[in-house]
Amino acid sequence: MDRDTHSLKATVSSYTKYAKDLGPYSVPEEEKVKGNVITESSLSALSQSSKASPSSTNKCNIALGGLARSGKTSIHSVIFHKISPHETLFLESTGRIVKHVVSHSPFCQLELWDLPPELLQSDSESSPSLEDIVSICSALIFVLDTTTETPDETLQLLHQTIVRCYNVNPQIHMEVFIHKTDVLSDEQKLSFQREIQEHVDGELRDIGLDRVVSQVSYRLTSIFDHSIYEAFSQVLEKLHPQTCLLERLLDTFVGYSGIENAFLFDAVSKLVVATDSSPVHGNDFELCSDMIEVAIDISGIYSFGNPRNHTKEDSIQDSHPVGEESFILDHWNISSSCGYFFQDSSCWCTIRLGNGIVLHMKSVGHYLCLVLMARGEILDSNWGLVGYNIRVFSECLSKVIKSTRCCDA
Amino acid sequence: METERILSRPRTRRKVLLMGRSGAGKTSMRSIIFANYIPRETRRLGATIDVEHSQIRFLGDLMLSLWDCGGQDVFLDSYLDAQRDNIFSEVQVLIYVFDIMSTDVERDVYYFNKVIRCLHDASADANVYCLFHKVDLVPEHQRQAVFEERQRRVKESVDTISLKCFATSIWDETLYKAWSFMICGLIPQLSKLDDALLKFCEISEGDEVVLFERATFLVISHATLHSHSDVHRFEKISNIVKRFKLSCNKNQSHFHSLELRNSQFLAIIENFTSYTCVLYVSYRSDIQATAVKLNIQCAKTLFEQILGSDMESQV
Ligand SMILES: Nc1nc2c(ncn2[C@@H]2O[C@H](COP(=O)(O)OP(=O)(O)OP(=O)(O)O)[C@@H](O)[C@H]2O)c(=O)[nH]1
Ligand SMILES: Nc1nc2c(ncn2[C@@H]2O[C@H](COP(=O)(O)OP(=O)(O)O)[C@@H](O)[C@H]2O)c(=O)[nH]1
Ligand SMILES: [Mg+2]
Ligand SMILES: [Mg+2]
Repeated sequence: MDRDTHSLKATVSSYTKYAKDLGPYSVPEEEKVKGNVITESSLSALSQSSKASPSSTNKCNIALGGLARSGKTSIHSVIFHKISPHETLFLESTGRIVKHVVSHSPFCQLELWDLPPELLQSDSESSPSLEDIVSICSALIFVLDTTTETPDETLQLLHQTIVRCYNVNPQIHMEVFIHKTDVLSDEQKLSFQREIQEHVDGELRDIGLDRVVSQVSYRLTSIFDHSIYEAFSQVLEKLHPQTCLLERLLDTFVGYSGIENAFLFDAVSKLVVATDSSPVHGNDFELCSDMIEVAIDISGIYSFGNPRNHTKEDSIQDSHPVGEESFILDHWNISSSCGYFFQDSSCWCTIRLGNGIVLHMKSVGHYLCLVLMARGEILDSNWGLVGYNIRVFSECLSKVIKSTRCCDA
Repeated sequence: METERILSRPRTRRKVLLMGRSGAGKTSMRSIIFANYIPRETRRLGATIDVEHSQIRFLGDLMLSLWDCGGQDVFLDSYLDAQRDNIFSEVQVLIYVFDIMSTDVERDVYYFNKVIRCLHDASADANVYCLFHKVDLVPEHQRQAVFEERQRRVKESVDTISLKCFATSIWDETLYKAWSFMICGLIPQLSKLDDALLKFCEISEGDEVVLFERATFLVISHATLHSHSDVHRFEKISNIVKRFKLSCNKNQSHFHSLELRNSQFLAIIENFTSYTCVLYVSYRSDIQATAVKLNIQCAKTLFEQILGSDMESQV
């Protein structure tokens, strides 16, 4: 990174100006700032490179398949429709193909195809067929219920589905969600995964599809804990052409700001869009996403309580689901209260923990939010700097988003 | 820090009976409120054998003696007969839990009736609360109707006493609403706390200030300067923050404080007195968080005094 005195001077003065606006934060002395401020030029090189990749298109089609009652509808309802896990009890079985359009942040533009179990049967004559749908999908998530009473049938269907998908779309990512693991112990989970993986790998090799083996990933999931968010985030990270670029942006940000980890979240779904490349400890991920939830929930309560300001809750309207002939289209809109929350770019939240770690969340526009983890003493002497760096980061992020939009067009 | 708490022995003891038929969810509730269980973990609980006693220190000065009475018929029969004196004497609160999904309402009511009669003989002044539990299992549009129907049947059967009923579930904030209400009734300094909190809210130019017990995050008191449309907000916040606290514990840490701001409001949650946390909310954009925190620090001594004052007055 270039750190010539000229650019440093410019940034320090603009930073001091910003720090004044921040109010409660202490203004650190100038020498602390040296070499730490991200310069526009140091990041612009990164955002340039995204322009170079013309394939960066954001809309992802993902198919969800599996046996009846395996948890497909539950998974996307919990992640994207924000229903509570225990409420999935009331979900009715999905009789037709339902396409859910998810449009949150620019990195979470999805079309989810919830497939009825019959569609996966080889004698299914429905139209569109599995092949039709899979040919436009970049990933297929096969939901495998660990509590099933017919494990052989499930494995048989899994194998057959993998082969069919591969035949129409050799590029497709196949993701096996070994689901409802909340009922299993940790050892059981691992042995389950090992068993399934060995079985599938063996069958694929038997029919000479060795190269498909590496295209299938296995993840242990449950809607009752954080595992479903981690699994889905990993699928998204895999599908997005910008993941690498965002990771480098975050790395630069983390390095220059003296913080430990930085996560970029799709705020509404709480899926992680990107993280910096330093290792993440234990449950840090979960903690950050729980923090977002706390911020959303409390904002949901108090954003409309202000008697001096009449922001109407219904200012964001819901559009009605559009029915189509061959499948049902479900356009889900961000619920009004949290929608308001994330359009409010002035929102931030700081949580201090007993072990001296501070979590700081800042919405950076486009329904995205940045969550930082850092040691309190470091952050407290550098708030102004971190604030400045967050601003530079969001500007770069906007450029990345704009440039991918250009490519789409 | 800890030694100080142990030195001041609590003076106010309250006996709380937790009763109801087996599987109604008694142990689940108390484990979530007092023992930091997350709802999902209650699936692993086995049936309670006879009575499980727990001593819970609340706000430092109040000692709850919670009797979780296993609800299988053999145990219930024995409480009503052989163990009758032991169980029903000197009770301040009876919390009776019904499974709202129960298919044998007849028998639920039969036992409830007998319990009420024993209680009336031994501790006539006890407060009685009925919880209709597991409402999450009733589809949302039917909840109110089912709750009212069950409540009516129970109330009809014991028309002599006044009952306060709640519909609860371990999966949402209804649990916190019921328990905050039931436990608050036991706090002797409540009205003094309410007054002091209102004053604090005005002085610190807040719009709402809420006091929570630190370990359970039950709401103790609140001061509200502007009416707010969401009447369930306090228990929602209890539920939200308690969940986050548990998530911190899982990370080998603990929750310390929170500061949240957007263009509409500023919210601060901080540890307050030794046994409480405080939530401060202001809708003003010119309120400085540091000033609020300073005010919170300054108010601490006063509130410590109020919470400890009951001890002196009873000596
Ligand atoms: N769906 C749902 N299940 C609940 C709720 N509360 C408790 N349960 C479940 O009900 C079962 C029985 O709960 P317990 O707390 O052991 O019941 P108990 O009243 O203590 O039973 P005894 O000890 O035999 O008297 C557990 O599996 C809990 O997970 C609730 O609100 N909703
Ligand atoms: N224990 C457990 N149950 C789940 C989980 N995910 C879904 N379920 C339950 O599985 C049932 C079927 O879910 P549904 O989404 O309708 O399945 P679909 O037919 O594949 O769409 C529902 O009763 C859910 O509550 C999970 O992670 N753990
Ligand atoms: Mg379904
Ligand atoms: Mg029990």
